[in-house]
Amino acid sequence: MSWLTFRPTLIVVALATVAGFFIAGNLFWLDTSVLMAIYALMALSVGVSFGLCGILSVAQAAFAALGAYCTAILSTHYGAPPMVGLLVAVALPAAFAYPFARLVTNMSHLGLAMATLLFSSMFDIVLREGGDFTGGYIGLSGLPPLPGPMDAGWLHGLVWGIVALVTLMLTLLYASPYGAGLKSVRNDALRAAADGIDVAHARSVALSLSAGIAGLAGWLYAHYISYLGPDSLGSSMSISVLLMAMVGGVTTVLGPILGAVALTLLSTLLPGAESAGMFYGGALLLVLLIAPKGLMSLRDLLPARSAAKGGQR
Amino acid sequence: MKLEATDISVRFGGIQALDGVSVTVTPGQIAAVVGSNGSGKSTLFNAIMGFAPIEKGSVKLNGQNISNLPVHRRVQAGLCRTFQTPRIDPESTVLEAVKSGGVVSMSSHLWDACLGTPLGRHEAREIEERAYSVLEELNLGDLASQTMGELPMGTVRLIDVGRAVMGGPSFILLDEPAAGLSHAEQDVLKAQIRRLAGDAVGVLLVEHNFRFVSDLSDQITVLENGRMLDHGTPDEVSKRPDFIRIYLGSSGADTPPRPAARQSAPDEAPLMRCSGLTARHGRIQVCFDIDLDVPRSGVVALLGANGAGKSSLLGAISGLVKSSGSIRMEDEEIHSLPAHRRAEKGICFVPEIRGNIFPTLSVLENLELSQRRLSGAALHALRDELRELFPRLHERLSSEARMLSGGEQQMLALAMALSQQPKVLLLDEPTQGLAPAVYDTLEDTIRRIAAHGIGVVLAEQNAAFAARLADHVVVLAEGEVSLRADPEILSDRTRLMEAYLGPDNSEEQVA
Amino acid sequence: MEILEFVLRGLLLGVTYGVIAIPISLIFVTTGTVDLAIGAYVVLAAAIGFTIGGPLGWGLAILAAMACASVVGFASLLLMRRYAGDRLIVILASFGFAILLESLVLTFYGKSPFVKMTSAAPVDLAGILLSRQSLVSAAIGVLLAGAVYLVLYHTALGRVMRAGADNARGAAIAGIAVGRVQLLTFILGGALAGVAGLMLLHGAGLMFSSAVPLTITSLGAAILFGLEKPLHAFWGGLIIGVIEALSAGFASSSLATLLPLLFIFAVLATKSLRGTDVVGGRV
Repeated sequence: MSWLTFRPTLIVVALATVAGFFIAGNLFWLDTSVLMAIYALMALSVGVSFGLCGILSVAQAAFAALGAYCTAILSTHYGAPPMVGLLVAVALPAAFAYPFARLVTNMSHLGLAMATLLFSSMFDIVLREGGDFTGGYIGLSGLPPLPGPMDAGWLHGLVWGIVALVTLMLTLLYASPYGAGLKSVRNDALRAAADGIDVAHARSVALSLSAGIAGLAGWLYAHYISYLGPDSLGSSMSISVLLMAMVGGVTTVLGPILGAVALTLLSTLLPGAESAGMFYGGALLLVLLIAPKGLMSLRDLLPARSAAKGGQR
Repeated sequence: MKLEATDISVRFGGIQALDGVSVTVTPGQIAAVVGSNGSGKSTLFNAIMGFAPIEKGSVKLNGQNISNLPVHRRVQAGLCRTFQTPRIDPESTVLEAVKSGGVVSMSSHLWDACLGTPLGRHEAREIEERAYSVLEELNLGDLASQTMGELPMGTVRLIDVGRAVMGGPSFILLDEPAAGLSHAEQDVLKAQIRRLAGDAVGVLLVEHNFRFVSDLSDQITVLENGRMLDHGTPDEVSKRPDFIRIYLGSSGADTPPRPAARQSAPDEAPLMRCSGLTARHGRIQVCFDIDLDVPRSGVVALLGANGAGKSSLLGAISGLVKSSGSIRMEDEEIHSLPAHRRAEKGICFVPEIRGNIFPTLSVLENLELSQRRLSGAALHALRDELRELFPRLHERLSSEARMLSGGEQQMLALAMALSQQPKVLLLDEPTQGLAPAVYDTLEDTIRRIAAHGIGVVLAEQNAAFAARLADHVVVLAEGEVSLRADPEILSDRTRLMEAYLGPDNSEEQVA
Repeated sequence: MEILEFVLRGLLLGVTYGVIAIPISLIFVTTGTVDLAIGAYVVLAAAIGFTIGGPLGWGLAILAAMACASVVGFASLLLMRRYAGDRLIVILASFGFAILLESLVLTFYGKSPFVKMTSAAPVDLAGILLSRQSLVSAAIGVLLAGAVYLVLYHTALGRVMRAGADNARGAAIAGIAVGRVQLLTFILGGALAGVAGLMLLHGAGLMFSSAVPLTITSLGAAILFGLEKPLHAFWGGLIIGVIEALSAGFASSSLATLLPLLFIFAVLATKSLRGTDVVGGRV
């Protein structure tokens, strides 16, 4: 394991620290930065499901909402502390995603995408019709805050710290033979089976991991905003994080984070929330047409990088 | 310890792809399966590996029935295969590709990888070291960090073999591993296969290159139309008339070649002249520097074993396959034109298995489609001509093309080609899948087409059929012309066989 | 009697789904990809028809839908050529365009629903009251399906389209410009979606966020009897319409929206379990 394994994590830590230094005391930017980190986590979950394993899941926000509602229900109805909620918020989406994936992974790529879209729509209806348990259309409010001091700077550090940890985990996974196996499932399931890989299991495990990461993001979101409604992490969020990951470069570790940062920054500059979709959709089209591997592929333009290309990828 | 596939039958819809085929491989043995296109070789591999469902029969590994296991469980049990067209991720590195083959032997889980546990790291290191040593054995050590997409196909095939070896299989199935390999690469591959056999791995290989097969294998199984035709050592098999018949593709009535009739005057310029044609499929170069003249009203028979490059050459002439070189049609250079412009210049290609017809359209619709550029008198003249040439089609105008018999479909394919008013007609394996009973009609039709002043290039595996029509014979072997001759050559089996096998590059002939 | 009423209403609703499902299937057959932006064309057409109104508005609405479809079609063909075989990229691009259109409609037309009701008296059909508009819409829908049938099976254009779908290589050999035919299919799909938008505008109504649900429902309709048969997609639309109307009539309100989705999910799952390749794609 060379130091290169830690490079993406170090980059995340360094940039988050530098950014924290610049925006310290500015509540607007600290708030943006925390949300950015939460989106980055969800985009990373897209990286695992789509980038690594080829499951085009349009339900990542639904997985996040599943985790978020777990912790919200536990804390508002049963007074459970957020740390208990954290366990459930990660475990339940992961545990749900595995059998869900086993049911649908036989499908072709489009079939899978459609199944996740259907799941997301159905989950949305369940949330709205859940009565007092889910808070229905009104949602659940008054959630306890994230652990630690109620300080924007601390929260910035906490969420980006979590992003860095997940980044480290994924870098290790991507570099491992296990990750190589998942990649071959994405590229060519038949070939992967010939390598002795149980394709349905591998896909399901990847979706499960991805749902766990999304659940983690949902947990952060719920306790950070302290309110959760059916629109908080709805299907438009699923689409946004998918676009973020695609724009940044879904097959790389850092790509989804980069995409989340870029598109979140872009949307803070926009006149209104309505037009966000135009820019997101437009950005996706442009990226697909110009640089299908996302913004991360631009690094190949760096002279040092293109010289060393092929050595470490 | 052995791999036994017993009495395997596989059916796809209405087609019996395999019918009671048995193969046994013991550790350290090299067994080969040969047969023409569509004889069921790849299906046999798929059945053994679990890619194709077996209708009847069983696959046993070390006495244990594995017929009902999914693919990955069979691989875990010790089987593995390579693919005829290597299935690679062009962006992964050589090292990554080879490492993927080692995943099967891992006992660590997802969390070991994510958390970087000692077990996960240990296994990762082990797999990496093994991958390097496998690459070393294949003389590919320097390529470890190259991306797969940048490598020539021969190298990619070698890497695919390395990938299969990584899992430490007890039996390995190689699907045409030598196709597209240079002679040097073939030698490396042979050495690797022998080394595997020396390590008590059982090898089963499908290969068109008969020299390669007979050099390596202990026993050969010959398939024809999904049935086992013969079985024995390479020496035994290659001497049997059945094998020669299949290899030269002389199924059907065995008529003597017709005398070279009506030779065009030697000074007459050819209708079409191809020179220095070199064709490639993606990264595989399939034809090398081929010259071909097509005279007006002449039939040029393009012969050669399966995979010799016949179809690719026709594809290159028609513009559907990328190529370099020159094609002059009546002294006009047309090589720079795209396929549909070459069609306008008079080149018409009828791909194998009648690939130019539209199965769910009616016969009439098929014909109208190919005649849509014509009108008035020209259309009338053409229709009269077609009616006279293909009376049978005229009776079936309203049937869907897929409902026609194979022979009728071939007639439709020819009629559609003629509707484009070609000067040169490129026919790829017109007899493939047809009953010998319709050969006479087909022969007669092609002869009459040629009589209209059209130059015909007839690519055939079936040498006997070609013999009935050919004015000139060109034999391809491994993408190069190995023989040019008059049709009389077709009765000389030995010389023809030599030409099919291509230049002998085995060690003793190097000088 | 009540059942009959719901079935009838379902059929009237389903005609629209059928009209959207036909091009989904047509595009799949001719290009092997799926245009996920089709629901967004429907919404855009409805928005334009809503604000401008009259025959001019209708014309503009259909033209706009066709223009969008041609953009997506062009981009899809470009991407297909560049990333041969990777249909996910193409599908994703159409999805991106759907998001773009949805946001465009939201920005310029707002969140209010697009619906135009006339005061014409409903038609009494053996005790069942049906709005005139829904009957007119249904008639248009059936006519359109018939027109698609005629074009496909009785015109030179349809012959070329079927030929390209049947055997793309053969089509190239016969000198057919396959790419042009494929682009035309996308544009035809846009036109059908535009008409469907106007039908909904003068019927049940829709809003900016209806795009994705419409795409899901129509894709479900197209898959129901096999994605490779364009006219069967129309029948699939009718069936999904009936299921929607029945569940709205008999199930509790919370279940009513869920049931049609569950039905589509079940169709997807059973098709994939039977091993049929639901919507193309590798393996």
